[in-house]
Amino acid sequence: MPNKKPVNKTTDDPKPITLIVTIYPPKKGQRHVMVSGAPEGEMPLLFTGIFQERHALLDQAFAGVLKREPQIVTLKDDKPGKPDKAKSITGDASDDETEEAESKEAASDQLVTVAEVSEPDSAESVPVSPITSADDLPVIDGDTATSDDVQRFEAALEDIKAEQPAALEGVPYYKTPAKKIAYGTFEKLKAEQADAADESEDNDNG
Amino acid sequence: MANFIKYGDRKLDMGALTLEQAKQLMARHFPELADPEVKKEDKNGDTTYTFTKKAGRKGSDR
Repeated sequence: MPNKKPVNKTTDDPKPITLIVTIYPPKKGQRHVMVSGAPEGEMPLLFTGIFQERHALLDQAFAGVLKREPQIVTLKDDKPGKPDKAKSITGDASDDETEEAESKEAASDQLVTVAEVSEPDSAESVPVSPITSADDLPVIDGDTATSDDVQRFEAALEDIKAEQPAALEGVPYYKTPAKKIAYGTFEKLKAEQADAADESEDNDNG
Repeated sequence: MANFIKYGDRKLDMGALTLEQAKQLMARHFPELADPEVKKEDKNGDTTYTFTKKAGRKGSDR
């Protein structure tokens, strides 16, 4: 039994070649043959001749298709990297402008000016008191605060006044945040001292 | 003076074929060109018939 050599197999999968034979006119007169051949998706190769040469034309067409370089038809729609316009129908430049305007509005809403900060009407209503210094404070029974405490309070008050901007100078000291804290701390200190004095009196009585 | 068929980025010399024969030939090799849109262009004495696929209804090629 003779050894048959295996048929050479190509690594890629070649597309089959299609040969189309057209004979015209079918009746009467000199018949002509047109042979076109190409693998699927490629531009065909065209041969024409008289009817008697039909076999030779077939051979030529087949050999010609085999020998030529692949001529795959590439359409414009198939080319890669084409931007998808359908996705950007709504994303035009006017949208960017609108977004920019909105972002500017949002930024202006978040921006707090000095005038707004120093405007007492926009702040929470704070009861106005005629007290402007520690001397104006009413005398409280059991107040054990010494003159040193008062001096320290006055010194702290002067320091805070020196640090305040000029825009806040017309505002009473207890209406500014820093002064409120200082005044509240002083009141708290006084209350603690009063509690301590009450406790000591209770202990003495007891 | 020569006549050419152009489809996509490829060009073919159609020889003595008429436009009707060229349409039949292209339709046999490219089924999407069964009802093609042909644009004739004359340049330097040569005539080029540019074949394009007609836009059909969605799903019509299934």
